[in-house]
Amino acid sequence: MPGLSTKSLILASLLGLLLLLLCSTSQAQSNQDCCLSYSKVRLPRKVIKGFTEQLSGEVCDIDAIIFHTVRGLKACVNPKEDWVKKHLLFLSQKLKRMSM
Amino acid sequence: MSTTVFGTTEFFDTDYASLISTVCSKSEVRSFTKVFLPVAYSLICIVGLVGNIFVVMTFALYERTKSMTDVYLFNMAIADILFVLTLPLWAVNYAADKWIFGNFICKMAKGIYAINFSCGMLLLAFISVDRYIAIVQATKSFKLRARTLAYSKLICLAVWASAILISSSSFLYSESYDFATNETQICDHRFDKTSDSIVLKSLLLCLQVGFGFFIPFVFMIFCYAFIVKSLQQAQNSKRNKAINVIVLIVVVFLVCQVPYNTVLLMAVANMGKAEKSCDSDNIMAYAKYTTETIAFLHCCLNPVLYAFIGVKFRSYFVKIMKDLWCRRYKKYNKRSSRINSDIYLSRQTSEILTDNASSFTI
Repeated sequence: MPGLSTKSLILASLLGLLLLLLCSTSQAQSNQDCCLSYSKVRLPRKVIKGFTEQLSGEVCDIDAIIFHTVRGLKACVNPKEDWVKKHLLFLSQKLKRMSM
Repeated sequence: MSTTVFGTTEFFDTDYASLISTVCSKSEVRSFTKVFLPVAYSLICIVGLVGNIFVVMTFALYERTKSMTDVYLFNMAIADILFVLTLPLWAVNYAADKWIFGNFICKMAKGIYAINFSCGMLLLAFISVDRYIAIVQATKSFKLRARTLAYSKLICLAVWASAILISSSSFLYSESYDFATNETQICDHRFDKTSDSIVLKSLLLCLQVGFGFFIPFVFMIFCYAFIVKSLQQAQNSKRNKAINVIVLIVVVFLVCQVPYNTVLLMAVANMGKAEKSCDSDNIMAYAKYTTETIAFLHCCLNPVLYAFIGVKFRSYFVKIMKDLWCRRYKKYNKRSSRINSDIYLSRQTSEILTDNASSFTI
């Protein structure tokens, strides 16, 4: 009987090892500025002077667009909203014009 | 121009301002990590290196047959040394507030960090199993332990191979990239746009808590509980010391690992939440860095808990030190100090309780 429990113990540890194959340790950095939620109001196009893209695949957890306003505010907005898409299109066209 | 300015003033002066979510600034956390982490990591690196190099040295110079726990302890010391050697890179990363070593070293540092963390945790579980076999299955232990000892190289190879496999995702996903929001270079996990990163991140965190904490925890509790139970039945003067050592090992493990793993689990729970407050996110960041440092401290304590607490290890260590000292400073004196063959690296917390003609190795 004690031999059986030893065997099952070894088996369990081997099983644990096998499961370990799936795992990974992560040491994610948590000292970077991030958008945590989205603005609930539309920003007028004229107050926006630029934007940055936040990707959920990187250190921050959500996808977001950060609009930089003329007053230095960094507003987080939802990239899935239509007005944001329109603003982004406008801004990128403006950028294209400027670079030409 | 004036109309634009007027327009913006009008826009921001209204109640709208409260409806705008701004970027959560972590500048306070950064000024904390800039000072605290380089200092803490350097100290852990130095203390961890010294303690674990002593363990490796004693093991390498020790000539008698090694027990399974000795082999595990040796491997754990190697894993701890490799782990603390990556800490200076992270110390520089946090001091400079950017990753300056490039993509290859980022992948290597993340990978080695992950390999040794998982390897160390796995070995803690194996040590408790070996002690369980030695004490609780004492009647069969001689045969069984002799057999496992023959496979010791194979078992350790399997531990390292699985640790490397586990960490392959760290090699795969870690990269040094430009973080646009803060315009800084960081070394961290980065997932494809197509993959569901929230799910992947949560999964990785859960698995880290599961295998970095729960698996060794369950093994330790199970094995040490049975060991203590067996010891209580034995009538031996050294019994109480052995029980105290076991309690100490479990308490240190819990004190070091529980806070960090609690914070990691809370991070997973918060990940799905839509409305996180900036204040609580800052507190979480402070908590994560502080508890992580306490968790890292565990690898400095391993040599003390598992090797130096044993009388046999200590006396053998002192002998080796004296021997080395003599060789270096008394070269003219050919008389080499004899190593007492009775004194040998003890297994585990290295108490051999000889009672009823069976030897208990705790």
